[in-house]
Amino acid sequence: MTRARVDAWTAVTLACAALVAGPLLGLPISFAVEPGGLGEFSGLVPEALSATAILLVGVGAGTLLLGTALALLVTFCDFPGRGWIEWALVLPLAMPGYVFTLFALGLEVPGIRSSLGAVCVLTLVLYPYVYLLARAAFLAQSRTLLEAARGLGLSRRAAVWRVGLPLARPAILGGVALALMEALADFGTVNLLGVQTFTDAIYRTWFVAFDREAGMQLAMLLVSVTLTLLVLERLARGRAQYHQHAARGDVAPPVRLRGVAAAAAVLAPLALVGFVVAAPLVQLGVWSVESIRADLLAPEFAAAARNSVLLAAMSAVLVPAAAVLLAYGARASRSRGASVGARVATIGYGLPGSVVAVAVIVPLGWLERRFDAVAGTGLLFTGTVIGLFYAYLVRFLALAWGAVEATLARIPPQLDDAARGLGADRLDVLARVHLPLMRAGLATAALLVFVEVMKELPATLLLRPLGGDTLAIAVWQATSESLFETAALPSLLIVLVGLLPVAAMIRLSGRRGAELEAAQAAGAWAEGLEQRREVPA
Amino acid sequence: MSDVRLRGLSKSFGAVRAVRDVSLEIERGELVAVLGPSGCGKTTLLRTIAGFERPDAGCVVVADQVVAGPGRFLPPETRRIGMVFQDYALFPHLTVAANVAFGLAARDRAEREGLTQRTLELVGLQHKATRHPHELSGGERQRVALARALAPEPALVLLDEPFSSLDASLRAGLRREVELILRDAEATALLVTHDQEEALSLADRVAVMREGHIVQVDAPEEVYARPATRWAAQFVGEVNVLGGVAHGTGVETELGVFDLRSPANGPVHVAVRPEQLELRADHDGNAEVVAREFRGHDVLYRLRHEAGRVVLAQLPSLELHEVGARVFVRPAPAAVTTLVD
Amino acid sequence: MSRGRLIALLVVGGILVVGGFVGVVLATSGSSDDELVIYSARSHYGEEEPFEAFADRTNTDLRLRGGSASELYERLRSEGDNTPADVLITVDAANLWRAKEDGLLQPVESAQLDQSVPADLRDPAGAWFGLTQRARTIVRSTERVGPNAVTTYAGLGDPRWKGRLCLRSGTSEYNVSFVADRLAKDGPAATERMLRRWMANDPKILGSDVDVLDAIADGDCDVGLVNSYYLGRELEDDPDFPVALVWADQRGRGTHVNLSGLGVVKGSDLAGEATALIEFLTRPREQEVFAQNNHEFAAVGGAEPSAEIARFGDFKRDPIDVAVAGARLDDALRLMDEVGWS
Repeated sequence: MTRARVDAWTAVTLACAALVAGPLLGLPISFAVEPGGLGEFSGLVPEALSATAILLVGVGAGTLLLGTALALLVTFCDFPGRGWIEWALVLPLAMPGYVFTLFALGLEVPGIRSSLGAVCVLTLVLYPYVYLLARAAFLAQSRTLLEAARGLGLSRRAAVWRVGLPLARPAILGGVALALMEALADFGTVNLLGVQTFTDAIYRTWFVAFDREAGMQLAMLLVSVTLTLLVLERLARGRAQYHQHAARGDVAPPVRLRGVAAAAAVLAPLALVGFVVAAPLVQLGVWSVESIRADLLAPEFAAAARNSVLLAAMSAVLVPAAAVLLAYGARASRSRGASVGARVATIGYGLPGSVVAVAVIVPLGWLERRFDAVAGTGLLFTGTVIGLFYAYLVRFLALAWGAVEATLARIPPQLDDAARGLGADRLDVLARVHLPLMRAGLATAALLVFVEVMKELPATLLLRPLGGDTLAIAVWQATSESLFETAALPSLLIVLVGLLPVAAMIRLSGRRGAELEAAQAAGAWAEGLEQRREVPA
Repeated sequence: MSDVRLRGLSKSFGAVRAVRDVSLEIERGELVAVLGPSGCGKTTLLRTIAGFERPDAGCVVVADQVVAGPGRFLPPETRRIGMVFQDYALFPHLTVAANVAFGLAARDRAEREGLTQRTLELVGLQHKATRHPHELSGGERQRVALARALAPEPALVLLDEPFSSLDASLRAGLRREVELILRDAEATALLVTHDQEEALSLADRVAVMREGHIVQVDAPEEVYARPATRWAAQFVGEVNVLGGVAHGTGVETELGVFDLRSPANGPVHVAVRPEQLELRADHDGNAEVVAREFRGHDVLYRLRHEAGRVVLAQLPSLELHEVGARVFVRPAPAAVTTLVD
Repeated sequence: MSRGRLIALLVVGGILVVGGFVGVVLATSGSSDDELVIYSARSHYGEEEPFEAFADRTNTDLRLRGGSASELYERLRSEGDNTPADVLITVDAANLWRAKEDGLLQPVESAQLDQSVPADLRDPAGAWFGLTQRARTIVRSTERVGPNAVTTYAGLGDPRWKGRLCLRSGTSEYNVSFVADRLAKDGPAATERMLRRWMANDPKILGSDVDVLDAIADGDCDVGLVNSYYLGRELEDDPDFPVALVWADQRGRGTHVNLSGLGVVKGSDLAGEATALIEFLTRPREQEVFAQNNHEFAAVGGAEPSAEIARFGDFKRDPIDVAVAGARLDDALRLMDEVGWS
């Protein structure tokens, strides 16, 4: 009986993965179908490659340095206001790149329309990924490690540099990989700033030249880059097992800063957050007021606001549910096929929304024509938000899956066995053991998806049905026409609404999170024992 | 609590035959230990009995109910079997009381609370009922795991190396406690371990397991004094296997004459435990002390006999012999040895 | 959480999700049957008067879906006959031509349109009709550049403008159509020569025509290439804006004039109403509104340009040869890519 169940789970997981990753497979197929197509636009490739490379290197270095430095500061140093600076530094997550670009363009910052400008903008809005993961890693290091280093003659600074940092390396690199995937997928920022990355080249061949095949092939190249990044991220994370899980309070005591250092420690983060979040909000507020006064509001603004929230909320339910299904399937079946399938399903994250959208619209269009021929359903998918949800699923499953899988993986299988030994069937185990332990992961997944869908632009541009305009669309259309006042109010709303989940996420990793962390530490400790045990005796 | 019967149980993982044709009976209220080295298949045996593995052959009967057998397999949640895991597997998000009450979900509230309270008192943790597992010490966690397994009044309790994750200094005391708890609860228990001291001191009967087979099942003193095979003799305790010539109730070896438990004649091998030898200092002795291991209440000497063989001798630590000293070694009075192959 | 509560939660949650889902789908989808749905690539900010006037007059509801021409095109292709769209409006004639070539438009029979819209501003088969004309011409800084300093498109390649030339990015459909039209009329060699000379001047590539105008006003460059109505809008806001139009190639063929036009979508069920809309928008009075409000040039009738544009005088036009230019769009892109017009 166990055997039959195992197979069903693998099948479900693989089916889910196929559903999500399937359309993206159309890309290599088109590559095979018309191999010569790329030759016609070969001129685009070197330019796109170099621009994308510059972007990746720049954003990678920038987020690495900024995120790690800030994480070190708030973990190992104490200064007035540390408590709330710690979470304020996460706020830029709520600022979409294209909104910050709108702000910078409005300010007419010199030299911003360049690769350097794009690198700066993206670094400023993406560093929180590295910051969050680095901070979590530092917090999880127990004090004894650093004390051991000090005992071996290293100064405090050297101890952090030679022990603390390397230990946190997998987490930091994981954060950088996330930031890079976001940068790769970014469309609004680079387009507004005139930087010709791959995304831009794809946009050009596709939308301006109407050459779908060449566009697909460029997308294929982009997929390869993404895959490489994913593999690197996996390598960076997979090997490292850091089992020294410190309960709260067991972290190395921070160094108290004084005088100039303390002042700098307070002012620098404040300036950063002020520049990236507060200043744009203020400017957007001013423009918004002007737009209301001058009646320059985007048409159907209220409808757009409603749509944004509805789409984001619904996605925040659907996508994590799919992620749970995938993660659960991989865990329950314990087969390699299932876990590989789950990984494959997350590939959509590194692709630009426009690539995902076009990859999705083709099979959906075909399917809905079939349905229409049989049942007269009309534009069932592309004429409704169903197509859009599907694109969101393909695009953001990785986010939700990452959060869910991390918590699920921390639950050792012995807990399942223990529960079953006590009379719990599978549903009981889910209800009474898994869900309570996964609460934080689920909440994080839902919040992440909510924020991302609120911000999403390129896929929505293509797939939105009539009447389905969102706030992001309104911002885009206005910014394309340099109508900053009109773009302001929707931008403001996007950022404000996005701030709520970000704040919630921060709270989740706060005090309440400490209990959860301790619980998970216990689980991880058990996991550690599992590793020490030999082959089942 | 009732009988447990295993008949011809076998389980393989691919080419690895973890459990081979194991048969065992456990009486009601009995505590049986399965003793064997790592990799011998004892944990697989336990998991098969619990229902986490499906046997390839044989059957498992618990309380007159066939829980696993040809054409029949009950999932773990329907067998009335409690399990204590090596790492306790306590639910980190639940309090001690909630952990203990976990298996009582089907009962009504009054019964649940009563049972929980009683079981907590049984293990002496009623004052920590509202704590979470991560707030407890290792020994306390173990007791919670035990309480949790016992609360639903199972027909059988399985313990998987329950003491291996504890400090050595705590082990002896905790062993006592666990034994008392199990006896008080009148539990039928099966414990697997690689620690012979544990098996010998706790169990009513010991089953020695090697590479999937049960080699011997006996009371601890029998397993120690009358090992069934040479391997068992060597695994359970230290032993000197000496060759000699048997004449009826005695056997003549190069160290001297020992009594034989069962009469024999002709060339044989016997198992001589280190405590069955005695030494005294003697310049013209027949052996030299090669190494010495001081163990507190006794000393284990490694001696090189003049005939060339190395033997182990164990003596109380009242008198110590230095390394390199010459001694005279001979059978202790009334040392009864067993034949081994 | 207990088993029972989980099941209850799943059931209730399931109902909520399904209900919400259906609700969202219904709220955001579709149009009612008597709404006229317009897929428009014209920026619809300000919600142009002529459309509102039509809606009032005929008591029809209008529904606009904005987007770039290529996005709209992609949707029409995907939607096929089931499309809710009735009318397609683009801001670039070549896109219209392509839409017709790919069978997205249906021919319209209207004596009024045949009469009023000039033959070179409409499709011979009646698939699309011009709405407004848009000139793409040279602009100069009034503070630093004299009125006769540069008068031809080729003149932008003069070395004196090195580092002082601002151009919109090569992805802009206006630029692509411009180059395609050049290719059609001047041939590849000459066009390539001209573009290479432009690129040799190290132009600043900017994101929009407005950016080009701002750059000139700020002193970052001296000359550029924009659609005339953008300057018209700037001058309406700020009459002292220090940039002026120069009608290019007046001694040659004339200034490049593109076409914004519209057609009836093939899958439309409201062809009659759609035709009525087109007829309405091409009436002289509406044409005048387009000219005055948006600083464009009328396609039909002799509507006067707005004051801001009129001050630059009348000019010789070189209307885009829609069919030929349309066919050369790919070549144009390739050429622009080769010369490095990013």
